[in-house]
Amino acid sequence: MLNYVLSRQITHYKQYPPNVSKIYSYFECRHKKGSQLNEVVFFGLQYLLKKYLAGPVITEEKIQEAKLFYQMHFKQAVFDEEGWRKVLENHDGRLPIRIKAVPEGRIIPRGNVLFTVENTDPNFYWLTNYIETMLVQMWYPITVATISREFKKILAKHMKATSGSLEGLDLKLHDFGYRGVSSQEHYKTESITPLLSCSTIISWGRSREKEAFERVLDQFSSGPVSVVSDSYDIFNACKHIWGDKLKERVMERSQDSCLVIRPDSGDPAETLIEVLKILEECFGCSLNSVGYKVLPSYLRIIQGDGIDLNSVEEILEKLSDEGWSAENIFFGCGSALLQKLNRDTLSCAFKCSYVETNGKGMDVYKQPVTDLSKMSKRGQLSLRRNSDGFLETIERGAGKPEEDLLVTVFENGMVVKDYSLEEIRKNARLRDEEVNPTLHNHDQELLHNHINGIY
Amino acid sequence: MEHRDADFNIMLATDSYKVTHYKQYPPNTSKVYSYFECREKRTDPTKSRKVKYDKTVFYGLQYILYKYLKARDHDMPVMRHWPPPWEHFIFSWEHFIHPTPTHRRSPQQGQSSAGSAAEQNSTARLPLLKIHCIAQGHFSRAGKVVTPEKIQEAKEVYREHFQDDVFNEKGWTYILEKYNGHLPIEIKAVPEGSVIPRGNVLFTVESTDPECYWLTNWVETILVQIWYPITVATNSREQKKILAKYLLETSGNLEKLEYKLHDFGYRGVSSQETAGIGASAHLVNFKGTDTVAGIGVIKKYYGTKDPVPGFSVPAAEHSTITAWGKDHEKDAFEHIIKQFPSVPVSIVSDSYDIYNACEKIWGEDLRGLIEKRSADAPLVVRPDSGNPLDTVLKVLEILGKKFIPVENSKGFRVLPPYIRVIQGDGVDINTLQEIVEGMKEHKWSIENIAFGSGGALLQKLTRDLLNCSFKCSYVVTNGLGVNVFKDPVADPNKRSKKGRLSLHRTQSGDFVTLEEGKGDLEEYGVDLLHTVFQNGNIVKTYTFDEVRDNAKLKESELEELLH
Repeated sequence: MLNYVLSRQITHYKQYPPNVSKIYSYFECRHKKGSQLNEVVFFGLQYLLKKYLAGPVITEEKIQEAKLFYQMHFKQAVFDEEGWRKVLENHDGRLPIRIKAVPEGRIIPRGNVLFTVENTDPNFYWLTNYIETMLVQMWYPITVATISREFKKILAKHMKATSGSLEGLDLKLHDFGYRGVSSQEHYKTESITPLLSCSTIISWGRSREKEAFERVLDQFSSGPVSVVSDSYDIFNACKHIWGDKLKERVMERSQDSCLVIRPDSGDPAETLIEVLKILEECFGCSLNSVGYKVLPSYLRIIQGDGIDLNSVEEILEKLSDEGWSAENIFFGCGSALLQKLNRDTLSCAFKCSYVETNGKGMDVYKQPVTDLSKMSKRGQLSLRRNSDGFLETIERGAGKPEEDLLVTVFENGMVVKDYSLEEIRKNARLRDEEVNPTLHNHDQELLHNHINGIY
Repeated sequence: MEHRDADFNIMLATDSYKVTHYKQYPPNTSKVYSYFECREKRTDPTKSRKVKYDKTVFYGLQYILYKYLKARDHDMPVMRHWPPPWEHFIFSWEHFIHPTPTHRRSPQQGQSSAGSAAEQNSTARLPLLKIHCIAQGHFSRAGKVVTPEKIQEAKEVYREHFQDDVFNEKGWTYILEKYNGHLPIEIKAVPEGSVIPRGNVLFTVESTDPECYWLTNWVETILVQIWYPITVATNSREQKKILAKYLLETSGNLEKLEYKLHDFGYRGVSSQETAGIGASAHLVNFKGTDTVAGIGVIKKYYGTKDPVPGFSVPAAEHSTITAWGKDHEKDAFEHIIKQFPSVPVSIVSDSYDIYNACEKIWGEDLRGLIEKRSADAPLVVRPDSGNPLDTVLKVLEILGKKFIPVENSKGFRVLPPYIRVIQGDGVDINTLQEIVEGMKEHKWSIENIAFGSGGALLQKLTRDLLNCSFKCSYVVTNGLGVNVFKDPVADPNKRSKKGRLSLHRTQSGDFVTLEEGKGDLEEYGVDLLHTVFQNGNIVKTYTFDEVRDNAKLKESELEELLH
């Protein structure tokens, strides 16, 4: 705990004005002009609280360790040993902090307060921003959840348009990102089908690709199975192996045990169109109720290379231009879902907005003349739904407590509010107008409010 | 440090699909041999990157081996605290002066479990200290790699996850029973810190037991996460080259180069573990960091001769300035500067108006205080918004009017030693290049400035930047070795290497990877890949000092930069 901090924050307790008794800060995903991402999924605070902040996190041992460490790191004594010992003595090692937050899973427009942090004991004013570093890592789960939801919106839109329903939407985007993330400490999703990698195909040797494919079909006769088919020549594999030598084996399979062919190189959209053409020639296809082509139910495709928000949109557009339904295809996403994101993607920031010094409260803020988008909010904050149904942040302590949507989730070392996975998923689900984008913008907002009801 | 070792389950630390791969290899396969490289990108007409990344820094394997793959036995404890808390340390020494009775007691009772006349022998004291420390709990029994409970856990998870029984329980039970959880694989690698051109083998992995052919690619997922420390270290080193070039050109020497790029990335990474790994990778090249977690990783997994591998200085943040109120910025500055009179102190100055802060507050109101400071304890002015190059140049101009610079031996302007600038906003490898180039054009020496980088240093990177990839190149089936590869028609860049591999230096000093077992022939000289991991044990380690030594900038590189 004492080490989960930027070095310079160790020295901050000496830098605040004398007689400061409260530091109140907040977290937001600032507005960014021109960004396609206008709202965020709030998610991940519960994990951080339970893992790093709850319970007696300070011990004498840790204080000693930190003291020695910082002596060497700064080459002088700057560590606030006494301050931390008071946490141990007066609060049993539990952090005298209060955190209020929007419920997990909620969709909130950018530029609004998402959570606030303040010290509950005047002696520990310096603690609020001490935990900034750790809390700001919230940018990650928020950004992954937001991007993932954007994927879902794109998929839902195309599925509705090219098939008339959203069946199977939840399984459309597969997480292929384990090897492409920076450490073991990360998030996993969903369930999967047995998938093949290159090594399992190439280990048979180039001339025995058919035998390799055949073995897979044998080994996994029930349940869907995905086979990477581009080790040498994806088009040849589709036309001559799947479409000819093993055609009957493929046709034997049921819808529940379909073959899912996986290209893994080349321009995604072009490769897919070409592969679909070949498969159509070999296996035929039918038209669904909205007039789009669907491969036989024992055959599908998964594109797991080069997938991000832009390419997914592009691919589905091209497919629908060529008359293909989105039902034919699944997607696997690796780094674009879990790694190609950073704190700037949603401009996540933590800033102090209110202090109490010599018993008096003062609204504080930054407002750099060099970049007004970096301006921060002032005073104590609350989040409410206004009379038009839109969410807005009230600054300067002017909000009414009964309207405040922020809920106390952490207080003096205890997690006081828990959200279940079901609640979070419910909060984050797609709204009607996100699936039917033909509605007018204004109507969308009203519909959104209607669906979500009054708090 | 967190103690997740005991909870870590290697059977649950792989891509789901790999769970099913043991059923997919050709029958009678007795060996799978794979390798890792940062592939070359030969043909990419769609993108023309400014930075080429021709060579990569190999770093981070030792961390993965120690933390996730190494067998845990009773005689190989993991040090939990270093140094041990002082009280315990004193107690330990006491014990040598007054040895405990010779009968054994259990470690749980907190007594030394050593008991023989050998205690009196001073050469036996080190192992005794170790045993005593175990008893005192300084070492933790980090979790074993394979246990019956973990096998059971994996079996249950996968039954639900696949809605089918596909997990290779038999295979993992075999490893447990025959090897007590020691993984029967061998890993050979280039020395950590080595700087190797793209497209060369960096490490190989092969199974050592015919029953465990499937294990090689099971561990791919966890090993390929090495892309991260490799990429951070490589990107950090490329920035060091840029800084070295301009520092040399504008000042004639490389003084303080290692403090010119400071790690600001802790809050902008995706997890605590990422922070530790990434920060340590940056410290391969530099010595300034605010990401404290990196230091722990280095001490625990590599070790240095110095007490710590990274340093920092007191610095302000916006809250410590704005908490004073808008009209009291000067009071905030004055207070902070007085708190730290004899070390460098960095003060963020853009809360309201950076130019006013530089001109009026630093330049006039507090000028006297600043001028009194020594060269070892400068004020470091920190802008934090606006276009980086424009802001830096304007700040230097303003400060230059109030604190008269001198011209150095190369003809570039240097501010007086008691005042410097640090730019810590919007810094990545491209903007870094722009700023130092712009400063040079305006005749400002790089001695005036240091940089801080956060997201770009530790987070804005992916596996695609250096095309890090793990591929099978050789198998033994029915007793016969076969060279295997992939070669997708739609992308020649994705072609993989064939057969057993080795890395050599040619007579002209270049690196070359030999394929198809050719490295066995005498004429190519020694293989630069060393066995580091064998059947559960780490057999070769590198200290962080060795890593830094291998990665340092070479004379030839500096010469190349200046032309």
